[in-house]
Amino acid sequence: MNLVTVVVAFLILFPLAMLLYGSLWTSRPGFPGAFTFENYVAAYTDFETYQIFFNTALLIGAKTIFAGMIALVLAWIIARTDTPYRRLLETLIIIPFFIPGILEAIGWIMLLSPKTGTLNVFLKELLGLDKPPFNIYSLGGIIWVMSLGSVSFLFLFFVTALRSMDASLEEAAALSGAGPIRTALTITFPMIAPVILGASMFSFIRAMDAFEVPVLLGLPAGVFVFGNRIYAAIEYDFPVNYGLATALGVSLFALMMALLMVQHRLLGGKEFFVITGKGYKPQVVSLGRFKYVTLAICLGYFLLATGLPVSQVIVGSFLRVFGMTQWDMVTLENYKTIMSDASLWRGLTNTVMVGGGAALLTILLSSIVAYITMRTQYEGRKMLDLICWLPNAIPGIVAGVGMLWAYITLPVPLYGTLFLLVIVFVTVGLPIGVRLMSGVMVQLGPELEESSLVHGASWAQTFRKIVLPLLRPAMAAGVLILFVNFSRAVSTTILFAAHGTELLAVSLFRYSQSGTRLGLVSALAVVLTLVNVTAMLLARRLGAFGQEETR
Amino acid sequence: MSTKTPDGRKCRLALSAMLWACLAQSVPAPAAESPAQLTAKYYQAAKKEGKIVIYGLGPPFLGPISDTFKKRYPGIQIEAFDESGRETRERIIAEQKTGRVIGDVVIAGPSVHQTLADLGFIEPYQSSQIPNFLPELVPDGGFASPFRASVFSMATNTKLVPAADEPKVWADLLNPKLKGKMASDDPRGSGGGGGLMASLEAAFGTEFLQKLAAQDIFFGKDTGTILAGLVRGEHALFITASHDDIIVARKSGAPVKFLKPKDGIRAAGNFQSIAKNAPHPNTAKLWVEWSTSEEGQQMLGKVGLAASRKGVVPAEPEADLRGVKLLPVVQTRQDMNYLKERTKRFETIFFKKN
Repeated sequence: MNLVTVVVAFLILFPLAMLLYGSLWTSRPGFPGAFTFENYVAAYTDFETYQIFFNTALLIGAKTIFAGMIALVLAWIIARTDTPYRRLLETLIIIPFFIPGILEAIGWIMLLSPKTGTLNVFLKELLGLDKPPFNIYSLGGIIWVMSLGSVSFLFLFFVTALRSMDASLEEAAALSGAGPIRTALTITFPMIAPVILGASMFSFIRAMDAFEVPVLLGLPAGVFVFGNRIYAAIEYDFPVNYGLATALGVSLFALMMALLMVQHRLLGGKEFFVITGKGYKPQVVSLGRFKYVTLAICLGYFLLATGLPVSQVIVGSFLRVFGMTQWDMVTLENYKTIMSDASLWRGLTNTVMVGGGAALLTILLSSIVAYITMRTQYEGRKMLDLICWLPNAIPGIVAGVGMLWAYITLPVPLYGTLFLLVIVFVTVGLPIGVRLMSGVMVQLGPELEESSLVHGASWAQTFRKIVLPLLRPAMAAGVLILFVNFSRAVSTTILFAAHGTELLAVSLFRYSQSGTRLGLVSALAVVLTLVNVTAMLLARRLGAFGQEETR
Repeated sequence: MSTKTPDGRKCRLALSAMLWACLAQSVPAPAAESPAQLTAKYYQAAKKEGKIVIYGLGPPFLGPISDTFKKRYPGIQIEAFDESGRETRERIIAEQKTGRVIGDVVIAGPSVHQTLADLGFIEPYQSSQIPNFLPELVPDGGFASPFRASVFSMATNTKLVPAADEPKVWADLLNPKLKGKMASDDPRGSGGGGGLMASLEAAFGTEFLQKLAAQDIFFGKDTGTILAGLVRGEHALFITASHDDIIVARKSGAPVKFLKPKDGIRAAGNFQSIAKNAPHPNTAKLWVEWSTSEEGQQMLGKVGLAASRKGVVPAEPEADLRGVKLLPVVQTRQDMNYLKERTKRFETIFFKKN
């Protein structure tokens, strides 16, 4: 158990310590320098830093409220009404969870570019306006794209809660003459308020991690939030500004820690990351003809969040010149390039191999940690639990910087190896894995383990022979969920993906920055989405993503 | 030689000059052997190494160049990783710091090589073919070799800007009709956008840039967004376009045109150097010698890049510098402070709202 604690502490605390050290150092990682507070002084005497705080607060606040409301309505429609095709609709609603943020951003650039965006031009002509109504390169544009993307994430929590709650109060309301909407507003939603609050808080905090969308939509407009400013400090500032990146990173870490503690207090220590759940047969409200309106609402969301942006990218992936939608531009060249370009092909195979391997390792380590913290009397179990929770408070790009500093200064040549990518993924995946496996472990009776221990088996033998086989289905689902997370990761891994260790999501992001490859980027995004959707369908067969229990 | 920046400050420091003089002395003099002898010697050793990893070269140019090289030197594989100069710089630093060196050759702009040389992460080596190159496109200091010219100028969307309305000189960009219709690479830092703006500043003064800033220019951090916008008609003009991006877009059928104003375009050196402790040092030298040879440079010209060797005629008109006036190139490679000051100045001119 001590070994597990040491491994976990090394993975998480070492990069964190290096991040803190970096923010107090005058030089770049691993180079001679001196202790200083100058990085913080420079950051906090610059008005831009306060603008970043303001923009970030506005972005995540607006996004959480907007996405939360849509998610709640959709979850209620799917879980509690007789809207037709609910099974299909549920799948359609959660698809954006598996789509890379970059694909959404590029799709919306095509739709809402200030002058030529397809939707902008259409609305301008339809409404007889002087100029197109929207500009995607703005804070509003970032909020819009990120909101649509996070609806599916919140939906997963809300729909599970709505299916799991006791329906007797709703039945009483219906018997007293309340209509379905009134019942939903006065009974159903207040009853799941803790879940709404918890999941929204979680979404709120994770939005601070926002990266690809603010980079693609915010940087051209000079709109900075934490994620894109830290990235810009490393990638675009001249000279490279590690001092600002780390000072902002540590500030963001402190802020997220504080918010997570508030969340912890508000929810009385409960976590809302349990994706599998108990089987319930929820009360279904009959909507009459109104059910076609709810069907239209769900389809409308699918159209906005997936149909419109993804169709732009799919079409773009078959064009020689991205954005020129003409028959003579149609080509399969972008897909052929993925198959023939050694670097891209390596990116695809590395994504599957490293992402899959890291997901498996994370779940194994998470299961051991969950077992130690929940089923043993190990003295350091609370500390172990806390350490595993810490990466929740570290945004991807900040974690990336911390790990870069950490592994560059380590006298072991890990940089540029696939093994380092596995370490990076395991580190950032641990909080999800541990919460997931803890949630499952709660549902297992302790009798078999106790019997094993009574008969003289060690905790390690008990874990291997008794607990592991019982956890296997949940672990398989967990591996797939983590794989999807890893395969989309850009902010954490962008500083590590090198020649030979390419990852598809990073290539996707990198190529989106180069002059002539948006067609190829689109094809890559389509391939990555297909990989993820396949993983999602597999995970659903294994009972993850909260659907099967209702059928 | 002493080049002055617009504010009159000398941009070459005596200390730097001494350092480069020392570096130059440490370069093995290639004069003793002919280019043919050198390449034969390196090829013999390279056959045992089997491959080379190049940073800063990618599709669509890599394929034909790589094929020709492999045909000339059977048994040697080229692996390339294409990314921006600043990414390459950070990657080499990380590799050198951890001792796990992967990249053999770095192809990038002058400031990248300068930073790496300052840190001692470059193995000083210069091609034996240097005398055949245009002097203004040859790196100083003896630690790097020429590769090609980076040619920057304005480009138009031909559907939005008919030939009759094309800007003929840079001052035409100040036409009020173009307000809100132009895009540029972010000029802060050491990228192509900054380089071209510096050349324009050197040629026409800071006042010209201030007037340009009033034209409500869209500044992008990455050329991808801007080029896509130019192709779609979001922007009528891309005023800091790289010739190779425009070649690729034009050949794909996009309505774009690379313009060469009468008062000049920018052509600056794009260099290559060998990483310290490169895993394939002989193959790296073989590559440097071949890519600077007549055959290598002809190949560069054939795929559409602007070769920097004298007498090489490029296949694409965008890369053809014959008869074209060149804007002054402010030498930044030996004075990083100049770049910092320039970045601050451009920040004030283009991004500070009054």
